Amino acid sequence: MNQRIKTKKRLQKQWPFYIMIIPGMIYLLINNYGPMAGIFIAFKKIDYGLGIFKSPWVGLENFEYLFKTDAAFTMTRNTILYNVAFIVLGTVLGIAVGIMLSELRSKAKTKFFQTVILLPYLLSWVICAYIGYAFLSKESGLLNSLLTNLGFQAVDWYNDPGKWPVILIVVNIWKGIGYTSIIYMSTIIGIDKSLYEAARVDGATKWQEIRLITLPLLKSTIIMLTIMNIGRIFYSDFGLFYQIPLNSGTLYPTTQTIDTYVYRALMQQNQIGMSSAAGVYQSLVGFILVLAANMIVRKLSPDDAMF
Amino acid sequence: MKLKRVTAFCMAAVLAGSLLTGCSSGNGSEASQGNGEDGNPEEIVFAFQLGKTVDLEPIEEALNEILIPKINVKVNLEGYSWSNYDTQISLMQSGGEQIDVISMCPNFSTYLTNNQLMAMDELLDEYAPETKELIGDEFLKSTSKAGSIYALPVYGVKTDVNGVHIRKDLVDELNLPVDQIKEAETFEEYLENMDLLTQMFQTIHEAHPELVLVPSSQNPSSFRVTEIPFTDTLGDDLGVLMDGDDQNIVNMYESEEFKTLTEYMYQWNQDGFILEDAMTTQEAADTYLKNGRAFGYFETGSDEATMEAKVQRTTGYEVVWKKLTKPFVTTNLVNNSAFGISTTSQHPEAAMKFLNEMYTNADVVNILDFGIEGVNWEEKNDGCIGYPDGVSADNSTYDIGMTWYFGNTFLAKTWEGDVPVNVDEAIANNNSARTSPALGFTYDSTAVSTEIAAIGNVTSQYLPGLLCGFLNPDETIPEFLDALDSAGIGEVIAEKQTQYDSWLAENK
Repeated sequence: MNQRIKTKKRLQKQWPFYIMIIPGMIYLLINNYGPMAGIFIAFKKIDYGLGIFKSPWVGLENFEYLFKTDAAFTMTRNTILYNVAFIVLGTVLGIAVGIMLSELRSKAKTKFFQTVILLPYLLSWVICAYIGYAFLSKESGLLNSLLTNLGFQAVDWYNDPGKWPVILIVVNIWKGIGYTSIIYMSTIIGIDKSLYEAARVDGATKWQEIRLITLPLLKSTIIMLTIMNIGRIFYSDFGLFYQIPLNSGTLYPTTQTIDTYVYRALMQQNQIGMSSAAGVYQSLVGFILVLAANMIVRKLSPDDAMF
Repeated sequence: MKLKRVTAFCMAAVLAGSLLTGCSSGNGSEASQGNGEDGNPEEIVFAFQLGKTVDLEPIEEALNEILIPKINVKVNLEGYSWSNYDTQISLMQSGGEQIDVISMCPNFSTYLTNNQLMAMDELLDEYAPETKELIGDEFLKSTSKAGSIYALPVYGVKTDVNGVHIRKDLVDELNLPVDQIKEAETFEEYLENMDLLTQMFQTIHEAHPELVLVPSSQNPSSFRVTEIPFTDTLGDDLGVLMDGDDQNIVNMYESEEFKTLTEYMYQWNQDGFILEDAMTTQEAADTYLKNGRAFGYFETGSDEATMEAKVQRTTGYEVVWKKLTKPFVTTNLVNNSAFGISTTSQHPEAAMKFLNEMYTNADVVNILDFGIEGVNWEEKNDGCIGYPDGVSADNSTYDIGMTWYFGNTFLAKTWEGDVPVNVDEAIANNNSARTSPALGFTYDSTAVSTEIAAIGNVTSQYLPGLLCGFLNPDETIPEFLDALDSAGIGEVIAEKQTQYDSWLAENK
């Protein structure tokens, strides 16, 4: 009884917040749960004359092309390794920049740097591809004119797969760091200032403050973001892997990922069954990985597990 | 508890909402009202590709002023951008939206394979006999399967061949022997053209090392000159009929001809004739010409004067355009652009009546091509048309530049500055051109779609490099062939051969 009154009181006080959740919930339902019903398309050969529901079932045939050639290995390896690199470097650098931003004393400076770092995040990949092209073009690229002026050989960037792991990681970090650093910065700003004051009274150095106060308090944010990223480890940013290398065929050994493979495979065929098959495959693996990652976290530190 | 109920209610409301929107598709859109019997015109939807955003409503009105009194059909135009057109059509059909007439450019066989098109023989006989006779049985075979016609190919010039543009000031300055380029009838003659081009490019390169040859297409980047003459690619390059063999489908990439042509490209690249960014550039060839970077490029066309006038208008440079081969009519060339009726159409008769107008009524064709008389164009001297006063390319509300696209292209008026098409001559050329032994054969790739998907990745990895001369054919072709084999090109060719054999048996 007592419990119920408490709940009622809380509701009376907090109902505006619950209302604020509603648009988000509706969005989530329509955008993320509604389309899930379409999973069955992955197991059908779509015949437009019969309509989607009456089209024949084909079992796992739509999945075959994903594993047909040795490209399956290349694209899976690339997708996973790039994502691991993005998760590790993105987190480390994101935290570093987040801490630096939060240490800035003046508000104007914080806003200035925040905006500058966030700007690339707001650019579309096509524009980024042209910026990349301005640097890497063999004819008129900035990097090549720099190299030749310094007496080095010009590099044919778009024909040299060996250089692309570095290029793609740099581009991705450049583009994404503004966003991740802001997430970390907002957590840091929320940390109780009195902790730092107490530490300073005790004579702690800046480095000790970061290591012993900031990082431990960031732990749950880091874990949550990482688990969420692990869930998307089988996805790749199509814009990054297709636009930035300008779809150059010679670069496939290091730029082909699952998403670009699917795009190139189905560009001509208009087979929605096969493209949904790829989506189902990616999300199933992602789902299993999230469960696994969360299970490990729960074993190691139960408080930080997401569920 | 209350909270739970509130959320449950919200969720239920959302779900119900999404169900409702899901169901509404069954009713069809409002346009499907009116069935023609009670005097109201039948409404149809005509979907086509559009390169720019224009207001189609006035065009619709102008069309309907002609169509409603004449055939009692009201047409709704739906223009979609080239890049997502095919997806858009699939979505409309699977989502239950009304769509009746579909334009296909260039994916007729995909639409046929996915059963997106209705067989139209009876409709054609009943509602469009003039159109049937106009296009002719020979060309209609290209849009047929198993004896049924599924689409109408665009009626127009079918004798396009690959040709080379070279800047006229260079031809004059360096005395280039462009007149020695002949319309090759055999592969040997084609190679003589290639040798001649190599010499001319060498001369240009020595005099103007800053000028280069630029690719004519992107995705995959190619100079077009590597297309083997008189070879029928049977739709998709995977399994072709080589010149001189009308029985056996072979892997084009294994052929001596393919190797020879890629060797030319490699040589040209090594010699520095080719744009260094050829493989990755996103710019159109004429942009490079306009900016003074290119000495020339390859482009398909059928008439020298038309091609030269077009390039001069867009780039400001006078060029010489020379054909490299004689024309060769294939299924693919004929059905490259075609119009069909959707399998989901509720008004196939009205759709066919509309199609008939698009092939026989010059007013309909010209409204679709140029817009409304007096608003977008007006009659000028010598039977040409041009912008009315106060209208120009910058502010014209239609001006889509697609005279080659709609129905019977011979009915289109001639724009000022263009070279008028001599219709009789063009038709005579169509009829006298050499045809592929497989003309009329279309191929259904459903059985091998897995292999084709895998092959798509192999070709986009190797082809641009080979076609632009960045990869040494001696080293790359064997590697390329291995990759094709493991992706299953053997199965694709075998499947095509089986279908071709039964087509041959039926048609011989």
